[in-house]
Amino acid sequence: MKRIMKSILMFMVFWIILTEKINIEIGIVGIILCSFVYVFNRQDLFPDNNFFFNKILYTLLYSGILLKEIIVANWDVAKIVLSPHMDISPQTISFDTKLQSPFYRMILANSITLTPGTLTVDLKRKHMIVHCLKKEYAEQVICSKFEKILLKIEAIEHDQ
Amino acid sequence: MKLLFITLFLIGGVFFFTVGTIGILRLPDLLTRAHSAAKCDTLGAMLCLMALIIYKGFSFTSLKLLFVILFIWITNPTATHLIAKTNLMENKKDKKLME
Repeated sequence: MKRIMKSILMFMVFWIILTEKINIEIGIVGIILCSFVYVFNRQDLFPDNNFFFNKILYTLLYSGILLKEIIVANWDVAKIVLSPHMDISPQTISFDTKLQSPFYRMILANSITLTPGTLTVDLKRKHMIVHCLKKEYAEQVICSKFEKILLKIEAIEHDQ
Repeated sequence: MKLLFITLFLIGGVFFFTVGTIGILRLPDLLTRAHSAAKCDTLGAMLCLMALIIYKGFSFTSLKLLFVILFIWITNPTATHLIAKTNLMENKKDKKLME
């Protein structure tokens, strides 16, 4: 019951942001629509442990580090692209992640692609194939900050 | 003061879009070009939309723009990943045909 309330509340906030108004009509229509969305999607969209409500501090920390990494890496790649003779050494590396759940693996893969200079080519169970623009990036990927934070979040989840 | 921030963010966004486009033209093969295409969407689009958010102030429109940023940040890596994976699979197919 608590889970249903949580997800419908989340949808309602989204609905109010989209409609830009708060009155009774919009509230009633919103509740009906949100319940339908919940009923049709409950198996796929919502795993038992809700990422956004339980670990909001770690989520914020993660987004901050991701933002910083994106800006730094973007600047580096911009320098490479604009320099007259591009010193790139493209290479493909493959490694295994220690993460257990598919959801966190997906987040890790997306973060690796978001930071420029590295690109996730394939993700099969634990095995990841990553394409790097330079050799330095390859070392950064294998021992990345993202994976450490995600491992911590996963450890907390196991304790609960 | 507000105008200064808007200008800075927009110039930054346009700069990264330009770098991304130059990268697509200059880099040698498909995978390295995919790097470049992914880059201008992450930071360039974010900076441009941030400028619009600052211009509008705190309102429903800015919240919607925040959702647009979030959406771009989820879809962009996924699309890039698909292009790269297709490239990998095509290469494997070519090798099999050659043998």
